[in-house]
Amino acid sequence: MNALLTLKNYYLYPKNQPRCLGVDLKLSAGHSLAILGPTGCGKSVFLKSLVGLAPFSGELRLLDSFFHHPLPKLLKFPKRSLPIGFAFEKNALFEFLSVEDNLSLAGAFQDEAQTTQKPSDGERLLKQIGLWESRKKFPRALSGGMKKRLAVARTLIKKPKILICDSPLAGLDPLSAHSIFTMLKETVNTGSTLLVMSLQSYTLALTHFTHLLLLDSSGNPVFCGNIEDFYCKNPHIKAIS
Amino acid sequence: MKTPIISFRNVSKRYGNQEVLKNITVDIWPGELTFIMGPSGVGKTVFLRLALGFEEPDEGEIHLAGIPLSEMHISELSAIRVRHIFIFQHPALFDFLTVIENVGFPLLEHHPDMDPPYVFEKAKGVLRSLGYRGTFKKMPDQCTVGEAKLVSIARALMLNPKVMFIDEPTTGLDETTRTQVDHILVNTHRMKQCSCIVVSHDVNSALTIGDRILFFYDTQLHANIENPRKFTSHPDPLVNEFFNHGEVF
Amino acid sequence: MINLRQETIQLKTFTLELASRLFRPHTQHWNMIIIGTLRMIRTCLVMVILSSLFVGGILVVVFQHHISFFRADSILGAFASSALLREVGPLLVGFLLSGQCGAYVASEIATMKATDQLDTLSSLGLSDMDLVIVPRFVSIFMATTFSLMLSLAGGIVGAYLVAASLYDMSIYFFFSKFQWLIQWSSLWSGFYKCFAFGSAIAFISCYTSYTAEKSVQGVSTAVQKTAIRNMMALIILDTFTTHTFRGLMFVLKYFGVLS
Repeated sequence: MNALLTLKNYYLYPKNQPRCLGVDLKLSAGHSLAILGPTGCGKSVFLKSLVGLAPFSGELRLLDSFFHHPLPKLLKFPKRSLPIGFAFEKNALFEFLSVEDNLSLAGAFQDEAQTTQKPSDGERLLKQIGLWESRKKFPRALSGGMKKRLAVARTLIKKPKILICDSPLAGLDPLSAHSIFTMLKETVNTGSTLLVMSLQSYTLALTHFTHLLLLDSSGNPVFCGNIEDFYCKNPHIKAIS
Repeated sequence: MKTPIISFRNVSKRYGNQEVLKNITVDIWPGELTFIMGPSGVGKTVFLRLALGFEEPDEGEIHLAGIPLSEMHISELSAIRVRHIFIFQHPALFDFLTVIENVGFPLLEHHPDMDPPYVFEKAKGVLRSLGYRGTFKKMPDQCTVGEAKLVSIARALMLNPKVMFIDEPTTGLDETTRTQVDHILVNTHRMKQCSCIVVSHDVNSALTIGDRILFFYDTQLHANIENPRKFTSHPDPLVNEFFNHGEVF
Repeated sequence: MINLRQETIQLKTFTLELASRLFRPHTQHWNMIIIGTLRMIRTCLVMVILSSLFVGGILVVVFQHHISFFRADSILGAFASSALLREVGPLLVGFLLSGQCGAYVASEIATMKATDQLDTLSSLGLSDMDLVIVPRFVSIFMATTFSLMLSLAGGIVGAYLVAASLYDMSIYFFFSKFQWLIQWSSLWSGFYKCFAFGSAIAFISCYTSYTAEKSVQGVSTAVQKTAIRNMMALIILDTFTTHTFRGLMFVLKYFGVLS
């Protein structure tokens, strides 16, 4: 299977301080990577570096392109829109656009062929996330869970090969969290998407993900790799869960 | 006989056409660690804001510490608020003051005759006892989310409150800090005889440390779970679903 | 316009609250007020001096055209200064200050409101009026009033500089007819305007941001409203202050404050 995301000798630069992530990871479609760690350990910075919002150095293979940065640099995409979806921690919805427009905005930059089937796609997604009734509303009229669902759905409308979510379950009540996680899980289970997300719950990471990246409070990796390897190294955890 | 901290009698609240709370009648008693739970958007935060008089109900009556809010003058209300402290979801630190000044600020304002170095020493003690490990001289915007949360709790504890109203104390925090905050809640509750009313999504902590859970759903008080430590299942499937999902997330 | 009644009630409670707290001595916050005032003056000092020099210059250039027609060049300095003191100086610089100080404080207070800092104060049993609004109100008032007064002096200097460089006037010639045209009342009129504009900017900025909505949009709306309301108020106030000043002078003379 072709790897969608490969990392080697990866360094991050939060607050201009080099921080070794040093991880060797190889992820392909259908995999899911959970990033766990205390607050402020650089989970967001790692996710942002994958879409060119934070500098990194090292080797990175993303889809078909290969990047080798000996010096810290922002990732530059050859084309404007790669099939990568990124959901921000703070939703980043546009306050001046309605729910519908927020969703269709993501599709607006796509090729002609795909825009023709966009409306039905949007409708299906809106119904799936339960926002069809409130599609004319503006983001400020939505509850926290609804906003988050919309933010995640907005990344899904591009049918991304890599789906990156920054703490999509933080601050949600269990019912909303469940519905969002089911949505993400279904996307991964179709087998064409790689999911990379940071989260807070260890139980969830251990039960539903194929790969793990654990960071300590200063941002150094404690564990990185397959979940089976993790259980091999820590058999007592298998026993507990 | 004990008077309830808060008692709601047939309280309703609307925002425009949208009903947020409808016909709520509930008493919350002192000495308990009460959790208020429910899906987002059912008016849990509004419930707290109403209880402390930050907003007025459309119908019904609210008593805070046995006194009806509608008859209370603003000066009486602020005298009561010193003992009943609201901790907002957003840490809401004063961004023109350093961490230590933020913690000492309310005490210095209430007692201008107090010696500032003494107050700051006390503030450092409180911060350390909560497990704060950062420096004291930094500005709030340099704090991590977890640190800011601890500072905002410490600021409230400086006034020795009788009741703390806490809006989502663990939201956005990692598991270690969450457990830390839970410990803080239990400790203040036990040691200082301080009742806590907590709005939270964290089912695990509610089931382990709570004395009572009020479950809100669809503008109503849906269930009142006494003694959550022995909670196994509830006759209502909705409540069950909520708590089952909640143990994973 | 939609909620005129609610707005009126808000305005009334805010004004009463502010007035009752403004005249109650709360000495512990003097350092806060003084630091705030100095900081605000520092941020707008350069702008005030620079713009007031040019305001004086404009007046000289405009008047010179007509005055030279009557060959009354000696009156030019006094004429321009009188117009500057009585009318144009405070107004033009007031516009600039409403953007500089007013918008700054409005965005600060509205952000504090949006991030729950004001509610936190009242949840700690403290008064947000006493600790946030009143100090800032006094700071803007003092800073704007001082800057406006400074701009009057700056305007006269600017007028002289332009007259000296463009029309070769000596300093004696420029100031020679001052005692003809400029009485104490001109100066008082200028100061009276400075006070009025200062308090208007302070009041409007604090009121608009204090009653802002608690959201990101609330902050931007508050800043926008503050700018517009300040400018409107300055134009309207300018009409009234010119009109009421004569009445005020009469009253002051009657009580023997002025001779």
